Amino acid sequence: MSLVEDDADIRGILEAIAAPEVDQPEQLAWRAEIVRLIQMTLDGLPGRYGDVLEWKYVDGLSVKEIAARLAVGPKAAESLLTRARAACRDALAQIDGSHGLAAGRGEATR
Amino acid sequence: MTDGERSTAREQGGDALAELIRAAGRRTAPSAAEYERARLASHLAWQMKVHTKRRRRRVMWLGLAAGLAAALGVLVLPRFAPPPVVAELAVLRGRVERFAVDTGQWEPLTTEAEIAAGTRLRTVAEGGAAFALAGAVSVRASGGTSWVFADSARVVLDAGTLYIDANGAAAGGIEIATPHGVVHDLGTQFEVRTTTSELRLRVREGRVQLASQAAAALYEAPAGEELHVTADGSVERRAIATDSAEWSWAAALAAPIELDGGSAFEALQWVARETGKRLVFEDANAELLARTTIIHGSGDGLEPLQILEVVMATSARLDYTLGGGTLVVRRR
Repeated sequence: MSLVEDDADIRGILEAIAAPEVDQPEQLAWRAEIVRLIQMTLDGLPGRYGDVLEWKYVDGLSVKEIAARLAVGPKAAESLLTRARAACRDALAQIDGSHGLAAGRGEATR
Repeated sequence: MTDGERSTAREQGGDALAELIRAAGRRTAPSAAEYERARLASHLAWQMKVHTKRRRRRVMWLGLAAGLAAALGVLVLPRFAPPPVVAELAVLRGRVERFAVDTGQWEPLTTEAEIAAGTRLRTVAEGGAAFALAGAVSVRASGGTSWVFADSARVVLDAGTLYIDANGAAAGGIEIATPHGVVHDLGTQFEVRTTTSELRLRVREGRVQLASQAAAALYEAPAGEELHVTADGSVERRAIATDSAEWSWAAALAAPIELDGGSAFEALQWVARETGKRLVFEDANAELLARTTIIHGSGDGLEPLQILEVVMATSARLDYTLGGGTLVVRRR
């Protein structure tokens, strides 16, 4: 099963990352690995895709604010955001294929 | 949910991907190894997309071309430039698979398969494979290994064990990027084994450099030494034997040597290299005899020590002893 097959898969990973009382070393290491892989994925996206996604979802910038940062129109920024999301999903799927995140999730939530 | 509603939900950051990115938090500057792995992952994702689009376009253009060809009597072929071939499968044991970007499926490799840059590969638990790269570099994968040939001089190892024999390779050597750092050969034989928690680097010949990600430091290991790196950056060194049984999996994947018409000396050199032994002739006459003895027959399917038996059986006047890290050859 792919990490990005549907939102349910991503939510499973999210639950593992957000588990509040995880204190087993293996689970902590796995959570850190997932976080690292997501950040790596953003780093590896083409152009400004990683920045755009981080600005939007981590910094909470609006599309207008992102457009201003990039000196482009709101439509262009929105289009960029859409393409960045698609690229991010594709890259996560590739990384999942080699790191077995879905399998790791099973271990962590056992 | 309509497209508009979905778009609105995403705009508000309420979807799973947005939450995943948010949960991962702000990025820090990546290490060189991480950067390389992420760059490659994205490259592969884009390669898949491009290939899919090209395939769709090809289907469309082939239809048009066929129509034109029928009308004009001319065959029109679309241009398609695939990634360059960077490796060739030399030895196959069990099942070895490559990720086909066109189909999104893992497919078994067949003998003498050519491997394009960016191809993701994996061996099953009991499998193994050897690949020939440019410059006489041999890359061998044990069972349960997952990796990518980024180009002809760079391999990204995600998990498992690779053995590199860069004997006589072009200057610049080969790089192995792992989750724990980048290994750079300096013209040698070595083994890299990595998991999510540790990296083990064992040097059989020559020297190898390791740029450790966690320790943010550069280490160098000579022949007969092992570096053990953990995820927290601690590095331990220890001495190892270059001819122990731990290397036998790599020897078993050695590409077969062409025995027929070659000298016993060449075959003995190959056996010594594949078994990590030092080749020693008891005297000059023994070496002369080995150089002038021509071998006939095939070594296909035989492992190095079996080849040694074949060579010695061919030459009734040569004998040998194995032990103490040496292969001693003498006259009978």
